[in-house]
Amino acid sequence: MIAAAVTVGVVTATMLGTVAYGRMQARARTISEWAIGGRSLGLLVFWFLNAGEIYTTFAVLGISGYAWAHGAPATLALCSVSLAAAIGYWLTPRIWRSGRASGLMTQADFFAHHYRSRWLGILVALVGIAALVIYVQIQITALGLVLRVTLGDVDAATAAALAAAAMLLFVFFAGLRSAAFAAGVKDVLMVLLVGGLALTVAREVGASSIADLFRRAEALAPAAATLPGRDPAAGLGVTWLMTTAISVAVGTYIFPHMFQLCYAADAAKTLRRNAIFQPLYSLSYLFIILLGVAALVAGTRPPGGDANAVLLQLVTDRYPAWVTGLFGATAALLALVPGSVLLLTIGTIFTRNVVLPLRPALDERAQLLASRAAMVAFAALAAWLSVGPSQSLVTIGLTAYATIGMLAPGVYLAFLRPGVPAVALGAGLAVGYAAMLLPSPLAAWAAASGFDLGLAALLLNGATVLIVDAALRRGRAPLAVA
Amino acid sequence: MDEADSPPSGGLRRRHLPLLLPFLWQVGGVPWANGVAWRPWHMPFLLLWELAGVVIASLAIALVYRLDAAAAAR
Repeated sequence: MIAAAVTVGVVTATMLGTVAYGRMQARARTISEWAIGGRSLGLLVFWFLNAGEIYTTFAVLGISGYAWAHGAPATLALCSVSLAAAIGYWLTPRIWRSGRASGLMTQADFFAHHYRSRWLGILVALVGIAALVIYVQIQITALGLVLRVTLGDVDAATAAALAAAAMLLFVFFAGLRSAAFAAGVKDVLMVLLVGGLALTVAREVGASSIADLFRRAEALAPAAATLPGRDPAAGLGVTWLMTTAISVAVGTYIFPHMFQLCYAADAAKTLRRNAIFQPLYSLSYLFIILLGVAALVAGTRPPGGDANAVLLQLVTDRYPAWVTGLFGATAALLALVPGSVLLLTIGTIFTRNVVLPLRPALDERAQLLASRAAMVAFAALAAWLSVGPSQSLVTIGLTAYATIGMLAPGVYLAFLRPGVPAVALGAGLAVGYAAMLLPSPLAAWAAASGFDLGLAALLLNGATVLIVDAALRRGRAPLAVA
Repeated sequence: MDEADSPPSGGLRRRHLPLLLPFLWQVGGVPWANGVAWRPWHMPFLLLWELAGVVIASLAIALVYRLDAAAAAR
């Protein structure tokens, strides 16, 4: 009861604070102010917003669950941010500059403009929306989990519907700039709370120190300390970690919301400096892994054996009600804030890159309306997808990365190789998705070796783009001479 | 000036090479680090290796930032 009251109280206070902050900041209510913060976010706000995008439920609930269920494979979290930052340092200022130079707002704008192709823009918009809906599904699953653990008697469908409704309310009353406020609250809460839990958890579960905690964990589950972890049949070996880490790094800034976030920065320098500090923030994943290890030592039994719920269950079992409530609130914000930014991105892409090409005469007010209608529809779709057999949040997340990663050749080549035709990218996408989704020797080989299927399909995709591009260039060259 | 050092279509430069270091450490080092039986503070070596890799990544990116700034000043 106390736990539920604290959870609801903290989440409500943060949402009200966010709306108030948004009102104070409110200027022109145009779609560009609303969606990309008027291209004026400074380093501090940008850093929090970016961190807010990275510290999702995928990381916190998913990775602690992985550390509990598997062990060593959870170290994937420690590679994901730093490798993405190394790429992002080079990539994001280029995305930013091309956006500013040509007045672009979305990733689909970028493709349509750079490759001078309307159909490619619409295709990219649809791929982006698909990947984002999967990502929203993660947030709704997690938020539903928090509701069920803190409120008790709620069935999965109701929890999902409530979660989607909360996310939409948040988006409608806030927008991108005020989401930075909530992201700040959530990040401060998360770091304090997770830090506090990590420092006390060893004693709570009966170990004398953190070192003792790891000693006990290894005694209980010797296989957890090294890859492939406690369940070799899951296929999470050395090859899996290496290829998945690359897949995540390549895909991070290809996500439409991350891509669009680059446009919101005030200067290229903001993006570069952000890339330096972003990895350090991911050191706090150690705490998350530690908590998963503590749940293993404590013998925590999450409801239905759902690994995503193990951290919530550990806190509920071993800590006073107010800590459980605060943790519930932090976890709820962890899903709400990124979830709302994702919905915002879906709305913007749908309006600009699917509706506008069909109805170019819409004014800004009508665009905002179309954008909001799309968000309601896609939130409902994501909520519907989240009601089903429970999968690891990490698995769902990696599916989203594989889906969006297919757009990587078009983004990277835009800055590396001028003159690639849209049709080459279309061919690459077709080959890549076929390799990923259809049963084939490639899929069988990937499953057997642990090689990330998304990365294998992406390599085929990239090779196809280069081959088609080279073939077309060869075909064109004699004509150019003549 | 910030804008001068990387035009929109500018590809990779030699001074960007340190950006590969995080990949060599955090991805290339996995087969070796996973096999190390040493357990400082009873922690799995792979975990400590990847933690160190995060700091290495920040340092490598900071180094490239300095190199970019120096190149832009010239």
